[in-house]
Amino acid sequence: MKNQKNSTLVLILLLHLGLYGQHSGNLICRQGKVSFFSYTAVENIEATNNQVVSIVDENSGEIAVQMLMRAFVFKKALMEEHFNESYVESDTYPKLTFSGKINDFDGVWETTAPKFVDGIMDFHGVQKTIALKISIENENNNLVLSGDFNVSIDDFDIKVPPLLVPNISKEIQVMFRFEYVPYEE
Amino acid sequence: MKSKPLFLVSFCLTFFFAVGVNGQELLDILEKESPKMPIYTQAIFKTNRVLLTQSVETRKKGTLEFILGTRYWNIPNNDNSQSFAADRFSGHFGMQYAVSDRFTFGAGITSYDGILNGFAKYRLVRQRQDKNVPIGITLVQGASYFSRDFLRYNLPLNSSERLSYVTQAIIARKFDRNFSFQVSPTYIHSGSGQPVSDQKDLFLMGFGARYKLGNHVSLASEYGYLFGRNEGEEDFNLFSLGVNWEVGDLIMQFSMSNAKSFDDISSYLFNPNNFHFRPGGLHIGVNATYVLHLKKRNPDSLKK
Repeated sequence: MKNQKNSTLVLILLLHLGLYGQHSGNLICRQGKVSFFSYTAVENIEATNNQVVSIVDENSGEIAVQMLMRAFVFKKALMEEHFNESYVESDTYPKLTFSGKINDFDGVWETTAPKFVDGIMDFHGVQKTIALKISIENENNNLVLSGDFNVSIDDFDIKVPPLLVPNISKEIQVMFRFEYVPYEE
Repeated sequence: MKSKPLFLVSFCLTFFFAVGVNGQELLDILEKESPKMPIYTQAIFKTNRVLLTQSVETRKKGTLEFILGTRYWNIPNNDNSQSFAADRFSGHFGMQYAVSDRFTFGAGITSYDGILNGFAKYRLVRQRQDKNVPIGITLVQGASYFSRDFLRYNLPLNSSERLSYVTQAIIARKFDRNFSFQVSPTYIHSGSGQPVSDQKDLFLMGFGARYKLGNHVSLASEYGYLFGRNEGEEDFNLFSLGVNWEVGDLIMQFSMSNAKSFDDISSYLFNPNNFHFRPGGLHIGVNATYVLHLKKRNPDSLKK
């Protein structure tokens, strides 16, 4: 009887040790890449942010992304200043966050077919539900998520002065690529 | 059985860890992991000049800037004027180039007073949003060559006495997203000893302010207080009020001022009239600044 109780204790202990020994189940990407493009007949604008952070919960398929607007690099320095000061107003709204979950996630990161992610994008003071398609890849044993989608500048309350309406596309094309490694606190 | 509560605790613990973290907790982790990049306060002023005088700003590396300035005014007691729209006109053409994010130099020429000017600007301290750097400091060294007599100023023949120098330390702060203010303690060496009688070394305190009215339009004003000047006899202090308007690569500065000149020395010193709305005191002008990026950066975008 006493032996049995001890062995139960040891079993429980071992179980817990096993649980704690594993990493949290979260994967992190510290240098994710997000590019956006605005193509019009007048002007092509593109910018890239190489310092996007993202985290996924390996078990539940939840995804969160955060980026600083000031980290976007443009070809022209003045364009970058205008972007931050007059369009996205990065001193008031310094970052963009996205929080979502892979649809019908069964705990397996299949690389065969693209998946859909539903989530909330919080940007320029506006919170909006968006759905986007992602492709899942496995590169050097690391999980890689990538994809592209379009956002409407009107949806996020970005105002363009009438004179510059021909220069800036109403629909901005966004591309992203995140490579994840296990997250340890 | 003693193992029952133990089992329950164990079950609870397991359950707690299996549930994992929700979306908000993931975002909280990201907040911790967010990159620590330096965030310099940008657009304290929108261009290198408040309106006529130097602002704390310099351009980013590899940027060439062209300034085309115009100024129109009426002369007093000239009721029988035959001129169209305005009695007098002055034009200015200037260029400046940013060697680095901190260092800029430039030169210009003005039609009305025949002044050639050059300057170098160095951004010593940049205001930051992420760290406790509450102000920005820029040093300016400029020189103006007075090529001919203008208005009532008779210049010495000796060319070294036609050369004047200006040294400024511009201290600026962007208080919030709309309001910026700068003070600039200034030393001016007036080669010709004008306008303050035979005093070649002059001290001045310059002030500049910007208030953002909208995302693309801001109000700007500047004032220069010259110490030891007998205002009236020895000219008046500079005051200008205007609007900055940015349209892509072009920035327009509409201004009303009592200055006829565009360079850093004569606009501070040689103003025969005080600012008012009658002929002589009011000079209306537009400075158009066109920004050209000679060195484009490579954003290394995802689209190849």
